[in-house]
Amino acid sequence: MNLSWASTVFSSEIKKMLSYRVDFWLQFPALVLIQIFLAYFLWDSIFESRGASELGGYSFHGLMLYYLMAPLMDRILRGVELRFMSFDIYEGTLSRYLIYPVSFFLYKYIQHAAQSFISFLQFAVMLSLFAVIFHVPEEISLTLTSFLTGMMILVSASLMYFILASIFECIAFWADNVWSLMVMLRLTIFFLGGGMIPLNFFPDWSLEVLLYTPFPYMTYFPIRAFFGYLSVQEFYAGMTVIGSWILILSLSLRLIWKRGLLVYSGVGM
Amino acid sequence: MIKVKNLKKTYRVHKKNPGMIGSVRSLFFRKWTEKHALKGVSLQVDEGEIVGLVGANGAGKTTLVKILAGIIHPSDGEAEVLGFTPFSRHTDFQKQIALIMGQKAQLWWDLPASDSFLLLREIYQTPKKDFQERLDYLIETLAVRDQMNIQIRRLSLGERMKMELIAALLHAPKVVFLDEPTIGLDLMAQKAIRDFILEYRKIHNPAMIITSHYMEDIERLCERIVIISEGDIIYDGSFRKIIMEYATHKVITARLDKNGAMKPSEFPPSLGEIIASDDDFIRAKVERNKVPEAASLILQKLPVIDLSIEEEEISNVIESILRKGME
Repeated sequence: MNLSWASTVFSSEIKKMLSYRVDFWLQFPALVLIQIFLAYFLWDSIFESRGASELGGYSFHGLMLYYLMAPLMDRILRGVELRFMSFDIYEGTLSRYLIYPVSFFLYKYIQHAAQSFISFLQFAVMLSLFAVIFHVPEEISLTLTSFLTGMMILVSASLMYFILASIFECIAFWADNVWSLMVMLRLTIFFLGGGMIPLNFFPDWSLEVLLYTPFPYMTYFPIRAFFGYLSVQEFYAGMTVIGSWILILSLSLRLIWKRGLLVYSGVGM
Repeated sequence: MIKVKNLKKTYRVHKKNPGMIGSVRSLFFRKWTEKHALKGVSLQVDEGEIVGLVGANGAGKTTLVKILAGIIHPSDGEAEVLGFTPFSRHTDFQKQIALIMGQKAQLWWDLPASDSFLLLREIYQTPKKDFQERLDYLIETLAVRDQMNIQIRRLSLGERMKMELIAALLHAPKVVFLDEPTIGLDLMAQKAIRDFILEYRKIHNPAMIITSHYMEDIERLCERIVIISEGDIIYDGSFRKIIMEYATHKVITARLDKNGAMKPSEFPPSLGEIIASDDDFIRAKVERNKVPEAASLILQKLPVIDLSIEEEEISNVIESILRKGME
């Protein structure tokens, strides 16, 4: 299979993203800063009322870094706004991809990866700024190993998210609108993935259960990997769960896609 | 190249009563209805043939094209294009077909046409030399060189349509489906596109299926037309034959000197119907067998400066066939 077209799609997507300069330089960084400010005031009062210097294994400084990384991680994970997939189904623009001799999902995944790459650049810039201005918290050991394990988890989780979100998007073959489902998915990821509070603040039993679901691997787990908190066993166990979910979700997506195409009418054409 | 046998397509459509009560009710109880878009269509199109698919809105033309392009799945029957079952969407099949939809942009809106074409070269794996030769030819023929580096979204409808044509034909497809290729275009652009399609056919000899509501498209491009009414083919034959068989009237047009003995309003109704008239002009729709008599009367009684006898408008002929087909 010749994939030379993939690099063209990738570079086209990068060009398109860079042309939205307001989002790149202002909109998204502003959103991250607002989230950090909220976390700052919330956790500041919690630390003060408890009189503690450490909570759930994080110092206040470390928690702030967590809250900087969580939205960045979420952005990398989400890549392209996949809702365009359901738009393609509603509007009939899916027909274009059915005619071209390329895989629809591969095409969309490359777009997704390109946007994740841009988000990764933002991630790198913002983390560097944090490290220069506030320094890296003492309890966190940022090493090459922790960086590489974090990246491996992040890339795998991004693929897992892409497949999961694609399944939700494909419901558009039958439902009139999947927007509310996508909002539910995002809220679930935000809450059960550790975007709202780190999952080690949850009861132990619930964290153990959650680790068998795809959600912790989307925010909480990769951040712990970047912080150097993951043991080798935890890393392998996590990668096994991610791999299993990728397999299960891929098979489900394949089935839903085939069934969906049977009812696709290309309306809007 | 295209073989279709007893092809059927039924859509299941959700029905909802109007108003809030209807909306709430549809949350719990859904009513479905079946719409038979194709009821058993059979057809064959050979290499080099341009077939015009004609019919009212909702007759099933676009459904047939979508099935043949592999976009939608038929409910029953057989379809074969270039030896492939379209819906299996084999890569070798996809590389040899093109679909142009006048009402739907297929190019990437945020990219200039030149970038889109390069992407298509990669997607279709067209050799660079062939790609460049074809691109140069298409750009020159359609006169769009100056628009190549402008984002698709910023082009006019006519320019965009030309770019869509280029994009669809860069890989030199053996089967081309054109769904309303000239819709919304001005007369100049329509003519340019029609001329181009004929030129393309001369060089590449593909099988083409065209749907259009503009009878001039069909008249100029197709030797054969297929008329579809409510999911059934009611006519499949040569364009000339349809005129001979179904055009029961001819149109006589005469330009007159204003000082004639007979006024156009005095034209005997038994000879035909006056479609339009003025002091210096008369146009009458006359039965084929009465044409000599009517023409002779006009020449004798009216101060004729110029006279022409033409076939009835093809759209009227098709409309009458469709009406008969539906009765």
